[in-house]
Amino acid sequence: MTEKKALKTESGLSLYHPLVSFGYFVAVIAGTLLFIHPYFVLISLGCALLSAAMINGKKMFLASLGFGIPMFIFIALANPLFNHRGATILFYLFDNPVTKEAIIYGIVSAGMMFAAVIWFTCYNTVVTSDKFIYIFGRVLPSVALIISMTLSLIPRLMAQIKVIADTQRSIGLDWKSGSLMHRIRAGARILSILVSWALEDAVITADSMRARGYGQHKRSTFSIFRFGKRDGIMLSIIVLLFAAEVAAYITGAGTMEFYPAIVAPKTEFIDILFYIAYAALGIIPAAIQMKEELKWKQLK
Amino acid sequence: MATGAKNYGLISMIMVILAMVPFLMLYEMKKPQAREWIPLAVMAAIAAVGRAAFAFVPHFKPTSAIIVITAMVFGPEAGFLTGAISALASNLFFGQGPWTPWQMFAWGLIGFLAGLLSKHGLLKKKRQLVLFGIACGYIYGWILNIWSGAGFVYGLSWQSYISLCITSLIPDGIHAAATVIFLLLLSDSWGAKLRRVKQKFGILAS
Repeated sequence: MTEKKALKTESGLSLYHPLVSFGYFVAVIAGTLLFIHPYFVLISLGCALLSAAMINGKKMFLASLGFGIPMFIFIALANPLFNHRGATILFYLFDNPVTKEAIIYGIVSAGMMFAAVIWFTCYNTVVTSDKFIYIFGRVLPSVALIISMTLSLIPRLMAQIKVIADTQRSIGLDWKSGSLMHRIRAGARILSILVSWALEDAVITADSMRARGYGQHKRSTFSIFRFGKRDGIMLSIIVLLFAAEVAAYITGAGTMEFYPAIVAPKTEFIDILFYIAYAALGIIPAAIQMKEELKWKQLK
Repeated sequence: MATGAKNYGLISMIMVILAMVPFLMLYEMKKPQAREWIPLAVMAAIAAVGRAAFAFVPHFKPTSAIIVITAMVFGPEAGFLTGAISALASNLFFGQGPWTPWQMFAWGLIGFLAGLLSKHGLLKKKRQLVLFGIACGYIYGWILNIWSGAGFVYGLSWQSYISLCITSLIPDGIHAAATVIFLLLLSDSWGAKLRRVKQKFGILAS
């Protein structure tokens, strides 16, 4: 999986400093989870889908829809079934009232979760694990190093599992056939063999690391990230728009009454400004991508 | 302050992330040597790979059992770290999402509790191990239900939380059963393997 990511050419938001791209997703996902409000959810979902379509590639985008849409339907249905608040009772289901407010709230919160999931798929494309570790390596160096070690071990373990499973099959212990209990036992056996192999290997790695001076100096990172003027400008824009989000929440523009009865969302001048600011934040990845593509076409 | 729909989704997510900080700092402050934490990285990676390998049975995962076994040998702080990291790493296969911090916290807590109980000699008997294995399935499920409740249902109430827990009884039960089965199958042999590595290389001795 990591190999595929490495092959993909970096573009758009990926080219910015990790602090910028990570900060961007913190701001946009926080905003998504903050506002249970139809307009904000609509803006967030629209921007998330646009960004995902542009940066994730077609296959991943469709896969995220395949997961997101059923989840959307599930949450939208679950809320009126579990939640019986609200003034307008539409009908009774198994002696429990189903209200109009709960249905609408369910759709809005389902949209919010849908948007959050789509934003996370964009996060996965842009903030690769080396960037994540670069950021956390400053705060929690040992923990970040363990994470990076774990991530690098997984592909090696997967390859080794295949070797062990093939060997086991050749002596008649196939984990892919037989009863469920047999498969579980055979699977556990494979994992046991894997543990013995991996532990021994790992401690040797540790000794090798010590021999090469691990822990003597400050650690360097594989990727070199430079925080330039462009990153500074982008980070300032993100912080500014995030501040607008917080202001929208504090002044109450980003919240809406659902219970007992729905109050229509406000559309005063200041609210429109908040919607615009939020949309501006959401559109950033798509805008950068589009600007790059235009530039590329002009230069060609 | 805003009077509209209170948002528990974000608040609860920030709280669960902050709740992890002391555990991680505890480990960070020990200034661990490479050979001390490398077995933890290995176990976290195996827990993550194991979760993917057994994905053919829904909710049936060896991850909790692997975390418990690691924590029993290496102690509570190491247990928390192994649990949290295996959740983060296994979501490489299952997809990161707003649930990632919750899974990290839930599995971290399972590791921490296992380390703590084992330190006081409370996980020696098979009977205790089975009981704790069952508890793991429900600890994990109930922590994740807080997120489901906060994310989906307005004004997370006890009633809606309890009804969520009732709906998740069966999936959590399968997880509990998986944990018990894997603990019984693996705890002796893996425990011995880990203790051997710990002894052979003098991990955590100094």
